[in-house]
Amino acid sequence: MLRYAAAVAAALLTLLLSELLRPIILPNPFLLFFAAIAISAWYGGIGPGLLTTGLTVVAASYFFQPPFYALKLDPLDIVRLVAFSLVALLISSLSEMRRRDAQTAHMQREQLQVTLASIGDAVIATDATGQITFINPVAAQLTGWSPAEAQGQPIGAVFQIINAETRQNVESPVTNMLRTGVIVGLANHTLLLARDGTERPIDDSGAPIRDAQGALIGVVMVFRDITARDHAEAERTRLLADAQAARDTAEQAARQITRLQRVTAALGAATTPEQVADVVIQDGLAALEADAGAIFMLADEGRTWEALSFRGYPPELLAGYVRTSVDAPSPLRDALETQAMLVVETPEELRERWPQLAELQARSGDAAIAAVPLLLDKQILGMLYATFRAPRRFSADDKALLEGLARQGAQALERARLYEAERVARMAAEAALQTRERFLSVAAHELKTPLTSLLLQTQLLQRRALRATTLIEQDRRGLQVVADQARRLDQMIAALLDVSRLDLGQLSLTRGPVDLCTLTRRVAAELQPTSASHTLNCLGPEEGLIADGDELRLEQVLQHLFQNAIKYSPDGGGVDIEVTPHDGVVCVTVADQGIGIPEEALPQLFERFYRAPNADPRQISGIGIGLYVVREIVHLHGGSVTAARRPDSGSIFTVYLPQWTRAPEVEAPTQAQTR
Amino acid sequence: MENGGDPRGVQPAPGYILVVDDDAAIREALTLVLEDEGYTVRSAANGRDALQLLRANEVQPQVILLDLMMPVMSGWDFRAEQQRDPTLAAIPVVVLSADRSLQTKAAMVQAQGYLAKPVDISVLIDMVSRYCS
Repeated sequence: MLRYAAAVAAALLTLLLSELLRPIILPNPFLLFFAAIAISAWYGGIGPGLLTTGLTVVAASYFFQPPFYALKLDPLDIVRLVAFSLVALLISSLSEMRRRDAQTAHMQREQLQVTLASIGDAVIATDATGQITFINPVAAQLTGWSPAEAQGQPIGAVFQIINAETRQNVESPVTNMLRTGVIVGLANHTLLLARDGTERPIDDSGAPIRDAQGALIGVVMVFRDITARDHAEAERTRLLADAQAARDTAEQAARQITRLQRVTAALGAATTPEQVADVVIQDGLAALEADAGAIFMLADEGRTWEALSFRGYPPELLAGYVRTSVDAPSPLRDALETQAMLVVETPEELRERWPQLAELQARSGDAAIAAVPLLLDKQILGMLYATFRAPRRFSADDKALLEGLARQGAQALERARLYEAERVARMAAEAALQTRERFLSVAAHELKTPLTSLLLQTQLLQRRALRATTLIEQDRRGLQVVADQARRLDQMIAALLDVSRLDLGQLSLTRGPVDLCTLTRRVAAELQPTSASHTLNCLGPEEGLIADGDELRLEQVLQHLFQNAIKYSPDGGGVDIEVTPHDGVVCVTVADQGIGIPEEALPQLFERFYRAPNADPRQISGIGIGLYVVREIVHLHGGSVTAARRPDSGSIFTVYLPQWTRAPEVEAPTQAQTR
Repeated sequence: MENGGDPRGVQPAPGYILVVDDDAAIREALTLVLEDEGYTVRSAANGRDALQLLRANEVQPQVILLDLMMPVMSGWDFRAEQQRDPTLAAIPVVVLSADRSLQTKAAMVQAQGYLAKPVDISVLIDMVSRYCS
């Protein structure tokens, strides 16, 4: 609307001006109106231009075309007016185009300004001489120069940069670029020096500005404050370092654990204190990269250090270390007093603390040492000693490793000591058994030698007496008693030897099928003559119940059981012997009518040297080994034996033996031509 | 085995028995018992004496009753020597011992028989009669 009003005003103003200058412009009244149209079209566009044109045509026709002050047009006037209108139209169009171009350019510039102003990075543009033509608010803020102040300043005045490390001025990339025409970036670690002295690390990029012909007309530089990024980077670097350190620590701990585990494994195999010491020093101190090490044990009731193992010390110095008094000033003494680990990290400290050892230290080249008590239940067994030829800082891990080594070493040493003691005790026990065995063997041999001639001579006399019939009956009986007693003595010696063999586990079985029916009958028949007052009754089948066993040993078992039955039935009577099959086993029961077994004697009846309290030793002789031998032999067969009281009187013994199940063709070969 | 031929013509004497035992009482008892049964008995106190006796005589015993544990030369060593000597190897040996594992030991010296001390007179006579005609 305003543009049209301006167009009308321009037309009126031109009319007024033309009226005032009437005498001058009359021959060419449209002259001024062209200017009005041009102005209207320039400012208002094509519309106002055409409006001014229209108004001008009317006004010019009325005021300045004869007849004046009347709208009377001859054909020539009309032609003239049309020509004017066409020219005016042309002017309006051209003006309109110019106006549009200017407007677009303006908008674009505005847009660029806004863009540059609102960009997050700092932007500075210069002309070809390096004078600032543009600086955006971010750049203004970073440099401390307002855009107005900065405008026209040389770039070097506003954009001052220095190297962060050398603190030397750095040439601005802009001047560099203007000088060389090559794009230059800032080196790392560049600081921007603001007007107020503030320093900021920056990062930049620049580009030349060239005109259409490619001539350099300026430079635009973009840069940014990287303080935050630098901080973040520093933080990241620190975190990485922390992580690395943590990883290193973990790896070291893992390595130490592995070493300790290796030491543990090696210690498990070490059985003597010397072996333990070697493991601790070789494997343990190697983990610490110690140059030498030793284990000292407290000896002589804690008065002397006795070296158990050495490694890495000069041979000529060892003699002095083998036995030393605990009172001699040394790291050992100090660690013993405090009962705690002692570490010395430098040779100076070593010299200072133990001046007496300075010479020794110089010769062995010790620079750092560690002395760790070998503690077991708060008692010091000895000392683990490690020597280093270079000064050494002991980390917490090092100390933990030393503690671990000392702890494991102390336990292993104690274990080895106990093992040694146990071994010695076992050897002594074995030796004692061997001695007893040898004694019994020799004793049996020596006892049997006189028995042999005794029995032979007696029996010879008996035979001669039978032939000659010169001996009176009393003498004959006397000879019989001598012979019987000699045999009895022989049986007792045999039983004692059996006990000894059973104790030593030397009694072995030669197994085969044993017909218990025939065996019981044979043994009973052999024993029957020894007692007139007893009757051995063999019940059950006469043959065919086969046990898996050693016939000689089973014969012994039956002999003991039958003799027992006779012995503990002082008043005589029947002894019932029966063999019965029983679900995979063969049973032999021996029942007598004797004095029986007291209830309280039952649990111990088969123990060695046990005798039932109701067996009066004056009446019934015996040393309490028969039933022990029975039980042991039966157990060796995998069988069992029980004893029970009979309801009325007497005892009943039952032996259970495994039945013979193997194929008949693998029968054991018969042995023994005689017994 | 009895009266077997011998390469050197040394003949076993019928009823001749050699007793080898370090115990004098046993030697005497065995001698008395066996002589009572009609045998000819000679005795030695150890293996070395027994070997000397055997080698010095033209006649050989029909059986040797041999103790194992003896001083100077044991029954083991005697048996080994005897077996090495072709003139003596054929003489049967019965081991007479108080050893606890007599059966095994008798087998080890390859004895023809064994008797456990103290031996019963009838068992002894029975054993000896097997080797003597």
